Amino acid sequence: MNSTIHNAGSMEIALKQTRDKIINNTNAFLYLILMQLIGYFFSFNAGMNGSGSNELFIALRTINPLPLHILTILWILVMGLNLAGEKSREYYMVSNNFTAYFSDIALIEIFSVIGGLTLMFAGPFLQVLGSIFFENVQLDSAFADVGLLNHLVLFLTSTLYLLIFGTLAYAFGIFRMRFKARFILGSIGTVVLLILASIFAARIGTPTLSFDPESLIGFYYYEQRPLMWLLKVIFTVAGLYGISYLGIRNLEVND
Amino acid sequence: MVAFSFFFLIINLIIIVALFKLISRFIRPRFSRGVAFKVFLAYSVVLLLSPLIVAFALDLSPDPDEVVEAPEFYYGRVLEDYENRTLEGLKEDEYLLLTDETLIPADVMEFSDEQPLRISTRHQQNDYAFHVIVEVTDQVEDIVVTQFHQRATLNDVEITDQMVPWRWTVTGNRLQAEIPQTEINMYVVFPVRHYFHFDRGHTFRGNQFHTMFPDIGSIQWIQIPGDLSFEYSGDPEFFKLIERR
Repeated sequence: MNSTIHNAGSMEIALKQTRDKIINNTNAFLYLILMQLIGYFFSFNAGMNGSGSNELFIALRTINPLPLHILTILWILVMGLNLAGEKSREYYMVSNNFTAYFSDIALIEIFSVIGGLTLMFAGPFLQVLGSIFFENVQLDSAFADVGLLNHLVLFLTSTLYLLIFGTLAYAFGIFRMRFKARFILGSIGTVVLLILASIFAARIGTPTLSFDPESLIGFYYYEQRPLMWLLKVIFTVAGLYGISYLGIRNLEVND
Repeated sequence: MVAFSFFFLIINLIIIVALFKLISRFIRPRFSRGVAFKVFLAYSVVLLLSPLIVAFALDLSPDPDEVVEAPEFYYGRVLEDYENRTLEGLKEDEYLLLTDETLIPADVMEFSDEQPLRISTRHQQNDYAFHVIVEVTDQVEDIVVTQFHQRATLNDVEITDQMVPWRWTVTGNRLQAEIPQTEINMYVVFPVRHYFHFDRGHTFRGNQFHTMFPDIGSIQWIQIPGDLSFEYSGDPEFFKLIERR
């Protein structure tokens, strides 16, 4: 569909909208900093082990970047929800559902790449911060095996995980937009159905059917074959894209 | 258990999202786009600089090959055949680290035949491994106290050099040791598991505290001139005597 006013194709409009949305969402980066600072706080307080006697007391505090990753995921969840909720045609160029969808997706991808980059650099930054504030900072011996390739793996994996969570939140938000009050009822209904199904599965006694969150996370997180992992992630993201497109396709937008 | 932790995770997420929304109310009106962009730019610059700082200014990189870890209860093995050990031998032992060497001139002490030299460790409730070996030898004219610590590691980082050596002091006819508290506060940066996502050979250890308390032990080697009479007051279990006159 071409806009007769601007004489531009959908793709061109979508790209321009993406640019507009980035500018309009600059605050997102402030939230990212905020969330990551909270993440650094938790990283420094990740854990402490101590033991000792009268003459000897050993305390080992751990600095672990995992909370930083979790808080960045939270950031992208909120960003995905915000983007889905912001379906106004007020301040972008001529907008239809396709261009809105395309620019939202593009924005989530850009956000994940930026999030992934910050997470890749967060490791060294944690070490610098640690050395500034504490005296006796050491690296775990596992760091001896970390090379450039491992940093790239960290970037790739954290970016794609952020993308999964971002699109998940976006799809969720689109459905919330579309069905409004019915969405809550629908989600409660779905959860009840899932619970019933799991009880049913447990009654019948198929131990292979288990829906615990660990195995769900492990489905991606403990997949060590690179190609399989990539396939799983790409299919998940594509599925979520498809679901959110179905949701947005003929969505009525109230100005 | 998993369900419970998942439940708490969700509650935490809700709290953090609520906090986030609350904070965003304060941020949104106050910061213009330009300011937000500049703040993010500054943050990015700091992040980009940090690998350079790590590479050139900090010396953090671990070197597990260089760390020597003594076998468990190594000092015990030394004690088993203490009669064959020499001070020089211990100094060359790669599993022991010489932490302190004190020379006490014999003439600062006041003792007589009625009041011989008394060696004591003031702390009687030592609860970490130590041993006092007294070598009576003609090679020295003064009392020489040499302290060794068994090489110990904490998460593959050597901590032996952080052990505070005993303080040996003389009052009258008493040669006594005071044991200051060693306090080791170590921060260990752990890698996130993502680094080894596709690394099948790597077993990821996570946050584990692996201190080997069997690793920690000290040997106090006291050389005493042959013509000097002394007695040891303290737990005889921790005392060995070698006569090399």
